[in-house]
Amino acid sequence: MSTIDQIDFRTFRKLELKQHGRAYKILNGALKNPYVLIAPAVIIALGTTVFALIFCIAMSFMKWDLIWGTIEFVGFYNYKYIFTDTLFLTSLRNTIVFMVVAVFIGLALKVVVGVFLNKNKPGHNLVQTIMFTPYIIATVAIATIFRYMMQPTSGVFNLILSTLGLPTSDWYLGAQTALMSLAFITIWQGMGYGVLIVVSGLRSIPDYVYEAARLDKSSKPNTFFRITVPLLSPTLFYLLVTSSVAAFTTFDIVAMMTDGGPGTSTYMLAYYVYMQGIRFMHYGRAMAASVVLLLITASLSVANFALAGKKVHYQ
Amino acid sequence: MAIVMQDIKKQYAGTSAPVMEHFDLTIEEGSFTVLLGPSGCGKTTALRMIAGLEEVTGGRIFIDENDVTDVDPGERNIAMVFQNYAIYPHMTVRGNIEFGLKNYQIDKEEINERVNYVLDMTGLSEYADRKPSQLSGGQRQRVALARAISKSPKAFLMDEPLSNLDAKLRIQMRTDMIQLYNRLKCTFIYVTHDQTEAMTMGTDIVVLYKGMIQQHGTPQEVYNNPSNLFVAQFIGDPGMNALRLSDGGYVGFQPRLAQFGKSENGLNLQGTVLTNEFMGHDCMITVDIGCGSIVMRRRETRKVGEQVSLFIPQENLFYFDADQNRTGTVQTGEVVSVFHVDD
Repeated sequence: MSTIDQIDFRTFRKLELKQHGRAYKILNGALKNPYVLIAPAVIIALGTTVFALIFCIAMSFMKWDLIWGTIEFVGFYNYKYIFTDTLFLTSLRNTIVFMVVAVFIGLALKVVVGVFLNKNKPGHNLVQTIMFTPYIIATVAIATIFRYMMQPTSGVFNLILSTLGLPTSDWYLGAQTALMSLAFITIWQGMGYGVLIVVSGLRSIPDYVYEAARLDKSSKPNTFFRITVPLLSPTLFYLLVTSSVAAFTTFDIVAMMTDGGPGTSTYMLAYYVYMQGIRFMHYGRAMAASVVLLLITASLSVANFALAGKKVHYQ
Repeated sequence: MAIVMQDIKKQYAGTSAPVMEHFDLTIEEGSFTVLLGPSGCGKTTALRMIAGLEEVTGGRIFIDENDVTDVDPGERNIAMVFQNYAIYPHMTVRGNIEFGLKNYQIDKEEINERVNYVLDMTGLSEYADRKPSQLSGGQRQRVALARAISKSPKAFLMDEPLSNLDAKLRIQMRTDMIQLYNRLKCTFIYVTHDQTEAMTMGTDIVVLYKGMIQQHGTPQEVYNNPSNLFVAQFIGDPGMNALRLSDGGYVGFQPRLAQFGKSENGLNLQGTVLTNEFMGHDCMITVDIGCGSIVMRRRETRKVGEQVSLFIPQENLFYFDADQNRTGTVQTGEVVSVFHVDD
């Protein structure tokens, strides 16, 4: 007897169907069909993602006027428009710079802190709790707090820097420093989560491997790069893929702190999509830009799997 | 090379009592010494201290008359095989063996030569480029052995290396291990809780219990001449039966030397057969003698529930004093109960 039969039995008891009745046979047949069983999940998935995706791609070839309620096929016009739009190209450049900084510096920091916390067990729980907190705070709140703290004239950041006799910065209000300020906040915000993942990855490396390395006269750096990093690679790869996609779709911190400014120095792709669609009502352009964004994040993941994925050692 | 542990004390941080104290052990050069004992007796701790993986709380360790107490594991000229193999999961078989050799800065040609030699010796040549996940348990164990051999160490330390293998493979590897020892002729220190492994492989057995050495001798010595009741009951398959006597001493006898029948000259017992396990060559028979049950191994069988008389000839009786130490004097008194050391 399979489990399905047992489930059937209970279901039909509730429905008070006679075991040999016609309704029983139909329902019984249907419930033994695997496609019927996965239908609810499939319908939800289709409705929320696949339909939205197809709608988005379709609309990127249209000119959609909300006021007159007209939809007109315009071919690649929207794509032509955005690829000749300096603002879009600036957004693309900013996004790439932001991603590279936030992902790679972020990842390196997460590994360093993770290794440190893994070795220092007493303070570990407290520090990890403190570090994880930003992850559960809404970005809106974080942005508001950092606007105060990074304020060039009255913020605590510059106060500390000047007290220490170090050069101060314009932070998010300077055209040169705004993008990096946002990257800094993003790294800070994701630190706790990343460290949590890194520490659990480190914990899954058995002690005896390190003992074998000690007996093999491996120096500490050698052990780190030849043993720890390869064995941590599935964890690092996961963080690489998820954080690069997250960085590429960054929106809220831009909207809350800089509105893409000063000038266009922090204009990023997701913000561009938002502005085109919600502010300027150019739905076609917004859809075209989001299709580009989708293609970039998808190919980024594919590239990650193709390049870094080969070096990942799954045990 | 001789390995000497001198007045060793070991206490783990955060515990109130040391796991071993005033521990002295000398392991002769070229011996196959087995550290044998039940779990928690300190055998693995002792081995790990020799390896340098565990720090000593007090005392000194000498390898070849050099004080290595504060020397790194990699500098002690030893190799270790772990219970769970401890091979690097992300490296190929070849990579696993090369890793250590590279750290010792041996030149490339010699590394290649050594790797090929040990791969050939352990029969792993065709698996050289495989990852450990593609190997069976026995093959992984051989990788661990190959890695140890490649370093041509002065001593091999082995921590229950066969206990993760299935029964048949274990017996096969046991034979391989003895051949390896005969071929390499260097010091082997082998930790196990399996007395059969100890008896079959070792040239010397060190029986440990509660962090103390109970007896150090050849397999014949510990089997035929146990120095106390613990050794007597731990060695053997199964170990000795022991009976507590009313005068405080104990009398023990090996299961194979108890016979059915009665005798003028010996210890006579009576009881009911509880179980009768057929072992092939003979049977393991449990007999309830009223104050507990004893085990005998005989070729002749008795039915379960049958009343039996049995005796042990005087010359096959071992006597132990009230402190459970072996004594030459005959202990007298009525049999009070059947005794097991771990009770």
